Amino acid sequence: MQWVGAFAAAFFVMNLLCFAFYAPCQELPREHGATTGYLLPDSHGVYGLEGYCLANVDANGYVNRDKPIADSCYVVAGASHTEGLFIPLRLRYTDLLNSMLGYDDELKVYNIGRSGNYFSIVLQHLDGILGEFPDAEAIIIETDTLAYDTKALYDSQIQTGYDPDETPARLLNDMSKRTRANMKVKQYLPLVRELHKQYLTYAESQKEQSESDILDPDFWSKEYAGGFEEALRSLCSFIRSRTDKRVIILYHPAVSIGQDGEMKLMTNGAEKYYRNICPEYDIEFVDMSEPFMRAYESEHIVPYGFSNTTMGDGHINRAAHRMMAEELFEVLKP
Amino acid sequence: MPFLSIQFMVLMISVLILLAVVRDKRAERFILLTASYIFYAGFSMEMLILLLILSLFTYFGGALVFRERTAGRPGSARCIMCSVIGVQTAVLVFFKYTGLFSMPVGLSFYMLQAISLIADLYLGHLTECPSLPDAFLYIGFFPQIVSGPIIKAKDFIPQLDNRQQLNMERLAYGLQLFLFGAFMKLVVADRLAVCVDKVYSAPAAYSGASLLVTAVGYSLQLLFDFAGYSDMAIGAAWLLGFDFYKNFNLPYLAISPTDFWRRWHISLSSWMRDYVYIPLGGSRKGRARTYINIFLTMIVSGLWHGSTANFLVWGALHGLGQVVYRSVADRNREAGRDRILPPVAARILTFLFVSLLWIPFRAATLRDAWTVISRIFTFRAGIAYYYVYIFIFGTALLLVQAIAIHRNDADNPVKPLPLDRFYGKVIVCILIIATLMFAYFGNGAFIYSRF
Repeated sequence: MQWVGAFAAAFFVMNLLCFAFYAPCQELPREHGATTGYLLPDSHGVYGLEGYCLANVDANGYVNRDKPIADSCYVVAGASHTEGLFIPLRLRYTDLLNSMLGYDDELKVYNIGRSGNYFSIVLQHLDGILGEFPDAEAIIIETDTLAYDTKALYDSQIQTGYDPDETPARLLNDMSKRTRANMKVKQYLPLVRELHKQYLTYAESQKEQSESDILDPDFWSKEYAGGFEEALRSLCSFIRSRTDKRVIILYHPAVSIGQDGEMKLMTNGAEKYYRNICPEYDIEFVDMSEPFMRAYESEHIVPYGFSNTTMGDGHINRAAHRMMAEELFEVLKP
Repeated sequence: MPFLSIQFMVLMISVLILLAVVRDKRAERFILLTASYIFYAGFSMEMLILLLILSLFTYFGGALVFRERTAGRPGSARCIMCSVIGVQTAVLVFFKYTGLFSMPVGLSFYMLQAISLIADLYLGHLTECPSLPDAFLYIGFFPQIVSGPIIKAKDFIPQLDNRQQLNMERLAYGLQLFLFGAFMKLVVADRLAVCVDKVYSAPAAYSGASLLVTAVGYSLQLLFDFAGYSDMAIGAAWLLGFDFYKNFNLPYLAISPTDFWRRWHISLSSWMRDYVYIPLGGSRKGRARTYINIFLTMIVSGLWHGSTANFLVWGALHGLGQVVYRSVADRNREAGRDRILPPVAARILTFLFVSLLWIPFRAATLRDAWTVISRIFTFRAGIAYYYVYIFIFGTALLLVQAIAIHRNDADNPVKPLPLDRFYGKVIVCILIIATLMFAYFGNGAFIYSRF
């Protein structure tokens, strides 16, 4: 019996520790909106596995400061890099850009980043973004890779649509008792969630690693010789058919540190096609390749990695967020 | 079959149940031997065959040495001993240096034990020649076959007849040791490896200060990796009824290079002392010869660790460090002074010396080692990367060391938790949850299993 009590006490202590180390926000999945899901509105989360961040979810279910959205805002969509759950809220590129543009009391730059919402998924939610933010002045789409082949570029045009009734309140209301209970457990017992995550990581580490190189030059040279350009034009044309708002693609390539000490960009070479074709459709393409290389060569700044992970891997860090904010400011400044 | 696997847990539990049921010594040996070979076969069947052949060779070699010695023919015994050890060493050298075949798991460790069996029989440390199952079990005993600790024949074989029965006290201590070991390995060492592996893969990219911090990080990683493994092995052996000595005793509290080797990988240092340093003459043949013997012993230790020039340099520099220290200490003693430096300064200096020498030990090539060292000492600019866990685990170790100095005469102060008390149970539960919660599941291979 004493052992049961001891385990309960230990569980309580470690669960408490989780609230300072890893207690992520709760998710509300949805099908027809600007993203694949909301986060539980007006909630908080702690992320200490990579970098460290206390996240604040606003009343709309997105990670932003609790401030009103400015009229004709810039909506920024993307995956976890944009969501920025690895650095303090005010230091994300969207928040820095907001300040640079002179908005302190409202959000001119509105962040709807959601983990797992990669470039092609964001594009599939374009109608959702336009439906949810009809007054937006510009749509900014962030991506860390352009390794989307011809098929993926066409598939990106298949829209998930927009359902104005899919609000966080409605999703919460329609939730089954079981799902609701599950959410409560995750919310108040982050240790359970952490241990489950650890189990999944362990199971993954036991599997045979299959080598797949999404940047394989042979594959991409065949793509470029085939219908890639046409597919990209089709995508740009599709975007333009959906909206006449300002659309900006923000690309920040992954990097690797070579044995010789040099930093290399991990790219499939598609950026030159985007650079040439996007402007033809009045779509702006902001490429972080040069700023990243400049920062490394002059100050040894690596855009990815944190002091509790490794340099060159994982998510963009504070320095990269700052650089991205500066580049976007050059494009958006009045 | 790795320690940290479901298969190992199942094997251990099965063996413990069977050992609790049987009372016959022969049956006990059969169970332990079968478990050892099931464990080893989990790595590779070919390696198991090699282990069996080498065990058989060692057994017959040992029997011959024993027969000649007890028959009063020391010359013949010596000749056979040298031949058998020569063959054993040749096998080790063949696998370690030719690179024609991949190095069998644990060969470096069980071969030292096999040599110990032959030497102990020759030196008369064993009064009886072990039976075939005893010799096989000694060489292939599964808790320590992969990475030690290296137990001498004279310390292990007598325990086979006096194996301790498992009781609550033994169970609690053995499990705690295993748990502490798992925590050190999975949570501390593997997490530090994330940084160390990355930095050492491209040392030319990082600033001198970052490389210095990472060098300290590797010192910590290696300690927690190997001490963690050793604790798991000793804990498992303890559960099975065998008492093994501790293999680490806060080595970074050493006050000299010599003291360091009394605290680091104690079983290897003790093996080197008994079977290399003393046969070379030890300290019995004058001061100059003593220094040469120390130097040669460290060269052998370096060569045992690896086949590249890095390990030779590492061993030679450790040898040189010990010789320099010993000669200064000797002169100091002659001058009537009892110490060279105040203890704190001596500890810091020894830590820096040892950490500096871990650089060639870890670097892929001597060129890389030079890159790291030169960048540190020239304060070169580069990526500024200070891995936060180096500071966290370094601070924790410093705290334990401070307690050891103040309360335990610089010996490890960590004692088994009192499991009859509630707080002891809570701490064990916290340790289990913390291990599961913070374990790093990446590349978890034990560093010393490579040697």
